[in-house]
Amino acid sequence: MRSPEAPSTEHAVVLCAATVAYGTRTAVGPLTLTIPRGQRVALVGPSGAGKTSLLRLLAGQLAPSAGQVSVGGRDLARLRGRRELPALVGLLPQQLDLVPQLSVKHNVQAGALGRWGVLRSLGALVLPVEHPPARAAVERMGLGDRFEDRVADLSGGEQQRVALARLLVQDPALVLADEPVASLDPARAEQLLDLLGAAAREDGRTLVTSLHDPALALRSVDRVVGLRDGQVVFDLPPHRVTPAMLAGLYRLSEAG
Amino acid sequence: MSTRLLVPARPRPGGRSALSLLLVVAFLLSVAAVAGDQVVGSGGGSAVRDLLASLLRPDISPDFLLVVAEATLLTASYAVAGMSVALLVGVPGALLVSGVLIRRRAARLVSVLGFRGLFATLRAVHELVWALLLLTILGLNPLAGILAIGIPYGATIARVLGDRLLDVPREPLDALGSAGASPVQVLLYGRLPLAAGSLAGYLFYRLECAVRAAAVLSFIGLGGLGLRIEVALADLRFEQVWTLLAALVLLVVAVDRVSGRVRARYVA
Repeated sequence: MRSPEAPSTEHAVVLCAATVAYGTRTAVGPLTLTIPRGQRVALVGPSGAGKTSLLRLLAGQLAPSAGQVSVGGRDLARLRGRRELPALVGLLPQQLDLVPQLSVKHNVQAGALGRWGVLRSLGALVLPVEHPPARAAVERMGLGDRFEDRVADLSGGEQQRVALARLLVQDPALVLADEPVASLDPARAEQLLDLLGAAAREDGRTLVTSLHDPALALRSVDRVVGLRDGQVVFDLPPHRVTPAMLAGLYRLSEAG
Repeated sequence: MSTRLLVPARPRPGGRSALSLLLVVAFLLSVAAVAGDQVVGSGGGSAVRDLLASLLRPDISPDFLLVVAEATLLTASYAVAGMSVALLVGVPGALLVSGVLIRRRAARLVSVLGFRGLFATLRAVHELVWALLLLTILGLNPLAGILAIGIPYGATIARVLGDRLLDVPREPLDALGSAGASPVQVLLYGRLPLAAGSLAGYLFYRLECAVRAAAVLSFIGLGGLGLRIEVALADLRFEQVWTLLAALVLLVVAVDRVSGRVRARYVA
């Protein structure tokens, strides 16, 4: 039984004075932030604000230089490299993260590898079998008719949706995305963000995504966190973010 | 400052042509050194004439074509059997010499260095020398020919396949790792498909080499195209030599054709 003092599982993400430092330069923090389960959060801010470092911290790819990060009530430092991590945290793959020679089916099924043994992985690759969750995820992305096609033969927007389908098969409670629409045109960017937002909302996942375009962020999330120099400048629901705040966030610094 | 060291100095055009001239002179001197008029043996002039004249009338009598077909089949069999042994050595060898399945750094280093040394030793000895060694041990046994191809080729394949498994884009592998894939799963869903075209192309190239090696090995008594060419040359039956050479070329071209088709399937 969980004692009442245990970290609340209502909070999917808890950062406690977490800091990321590269040598003497502090990229993030010290940052204290809690994100309730199921919330969709956009990180906005200029290049070098620490968005990617913060996402890598939440993904368990970086260890905090100081402070603590917990996901789903568990300390990330103790989960690094462990096989239960992919069920807690999933990073949305980019186009380059897919294997172009493999079919959509195999790329999407790869999301389940953390739960599969070697024999099952091999069988799924060489036998004409289908993993139903993979089929469902690809259908949901509107790519059902491309299931057996090689990823190399798909367009950039379609590949980005294959990446999201893989993440749905991985089925993490916390979804992280680093500039998921950076390489897409506006229409496809909106479509992908809608799919990403729907995947979070309908399945009760928590979403943290960095977005370089604040306009996209404002229309698709519950909360906007403005970062600059590794610090939180504002932390508000989208309707309370004013153009003046954004201008201040992105202004070029006086020094240079 | 340090990046400057990576930029190679641009060769001066004058220096390059001087070097070319030096190489041409060195080549001419080396030809002269081998012994001026002995390059073409005594009576060689008429042999060259006969050889060229017979090019127009290769031996295509049914009896001889049957002999050629049998010799071709034998050489192809040696090549395929040798490559099979080479794959049995080379594929597990590639995994050991690249260390892609070993998680722990220290163990990986031991495996990489140890097997790199072992395979370097095995392939330092040419297949012809392997054949002579194995003939001494096994006697005139087909296995000697198969192993003479299989051992050095297996060692070469291990090294090259191992390098190609390592030389793939990093991003898909990291993404698989963050989705929870183990090293074996990263191999199956990442390294192998990413390298498939290059691996298949290289293996077919080695099969082509194995066909040529099998033809040469047949000189030392194992039968096949090489032996037939040797016999025909000794009897001055040049019209038969041409038929046999054509068969060897056709065999190599056939391998090349299949290789092209297979590779086309994997190019991303």
